[in-house]
Amino acid sequence: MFTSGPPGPPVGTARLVSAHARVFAETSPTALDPALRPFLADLVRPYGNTLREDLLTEGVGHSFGEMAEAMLPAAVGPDEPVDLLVLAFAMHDLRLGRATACYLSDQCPGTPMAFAVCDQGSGAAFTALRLTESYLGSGACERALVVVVEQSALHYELGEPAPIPDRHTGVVLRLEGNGNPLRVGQHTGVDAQRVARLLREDVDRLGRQATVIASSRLAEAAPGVADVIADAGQPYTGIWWELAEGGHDGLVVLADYEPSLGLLCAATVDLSTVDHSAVDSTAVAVA
Amino acid sequence: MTALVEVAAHLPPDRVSLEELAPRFGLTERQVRLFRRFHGLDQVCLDTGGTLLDLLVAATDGLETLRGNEHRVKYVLYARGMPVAVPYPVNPLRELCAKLGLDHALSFTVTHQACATGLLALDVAGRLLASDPDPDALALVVSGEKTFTPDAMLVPETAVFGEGAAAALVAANGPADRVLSYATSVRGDFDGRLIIDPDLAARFQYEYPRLLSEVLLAAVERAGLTLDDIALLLPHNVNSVSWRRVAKRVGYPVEQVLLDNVPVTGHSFAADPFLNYRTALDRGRLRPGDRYLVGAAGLGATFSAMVFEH
Repeated sequence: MFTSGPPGPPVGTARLVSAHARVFAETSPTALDPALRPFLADLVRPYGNTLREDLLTEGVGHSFGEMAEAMLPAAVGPDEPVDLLVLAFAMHDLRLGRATACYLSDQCPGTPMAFAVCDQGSGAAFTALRLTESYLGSGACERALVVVVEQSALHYELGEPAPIPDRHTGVVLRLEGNGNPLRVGQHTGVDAQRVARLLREDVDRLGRQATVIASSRLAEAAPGVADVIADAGQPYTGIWWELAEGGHDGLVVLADYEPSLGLLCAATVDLSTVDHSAVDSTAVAVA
Repeated sequence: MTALVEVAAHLPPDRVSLEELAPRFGLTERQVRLFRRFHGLDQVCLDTGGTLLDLLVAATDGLETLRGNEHRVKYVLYARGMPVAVPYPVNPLRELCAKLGLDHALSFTVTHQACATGLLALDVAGRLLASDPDPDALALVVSGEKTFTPDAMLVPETAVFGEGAAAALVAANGPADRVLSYATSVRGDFDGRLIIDPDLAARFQYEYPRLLSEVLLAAVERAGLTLDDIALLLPHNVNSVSWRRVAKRVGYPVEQVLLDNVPVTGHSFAADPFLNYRTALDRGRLRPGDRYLVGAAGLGATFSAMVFEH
């Protein structure tokens, strides 16, 4: 059980202990669950989207719960209890009615307090990190996981243009009080013309050379700023995937832009500074 | 100390009786009688023909403090019980922000705690505000959902969902309705669809009173209080009988559990704590200085409680 008093200003910070990423090639059995079609039909009826009968018949897509569950052992050992698990996603799960964060809590050492953040496009992962900072920083939690997931099957026609992942990807970020320093910033009300300048200012303000990992959408809006451009087929996990892939040193800025929300987000991780008092401070691990 | 600035409730005009709903749910006459006599349900509020955005707009329209203070709202949170409620990438929350002149705010949905998500959203909002350098910053928490699919209409032998909606303005500090404590227990071992899994439903019903009681008592203890200090208990509107059992179990007077809305609104997902707070305030059930306890449980499952000081 998680208990707390009224939240106060954070007294500590969240630090990144490890990042693990995985692409899932298989399809979830949920794709052929008879409950999927009626739920989807009810979901789209008021909005007029046409169901993709071809995909429903074929049985494609993956479940966030199954994906993340398979990744948990890489992120935490059985004797490393987790206090908080935050699931972040943009396009919804294949398993529509499941409170997946709750399910994952039951699969995770420590049965942590768990919830999900969404309806924010690529910003959800940053918000999840920011919230994790506030729980860890207040002393309410000692170890947290942020799970960023996307899956590629959308069983209805889009009503308006939006990115659809071309593969199923999960990234698990482990955070504690000790590890690589992490800071999250979010700018709201940002139109496309201001993106490049704001991002450059953010990077310049660091006062040190930094590697900028950006989504392909941000790289388009802010040409010349990114050192690494994430795969466009991973619109919501790509930058985190690049972090988990490793090979970066010093300051790393992970940045994304959500044009529909005017939201520019940047997370800075200092990979040159590792507090070795952490239980598992092997910098940023590769899954 | 996180504080409520104002709470507004919206109960849609269509009141639909259990008898009218029965064919939609495939309920027998006996089941309707059971809901009515045993669970204390009678009718639910529905916004027939209305959209999710309509519900949220109607709730926020009732917030007098919001007008003229839009610039202070830095966070807008949608506390949603259903994990998925609209097709991708439809975003009623963002549409709400545009209508209210809150495009500048950071908006997002918190979910996966089902009907306990309302209390989660308050805790999250409080943390964001506590970390914000601007002491005048506000967060807007909205809740309310459409009963668009069977999973969002009925919990077998337990509850019927309604379409009440609510909006709450939250500040990092304030003189009234201050959050004293929060307790939440996530029990993913109840993962599954009760509507098709009778064994899971039976286990959930059996363990529910104990699990809800535990978080209620934990929140009171965390606030440094005892149940004797609690003037009122605001429940979620799942049904009356389960709250009577819980009250008896923890030794709390059932007449101090605000069950007024159970027969008339239906279970309005994560909005119930706010709807019941509004009712308590409007009916003079809260006096300055009163400490009150809010409880909620969500399928999946999550059990939560929060203690406030009015």
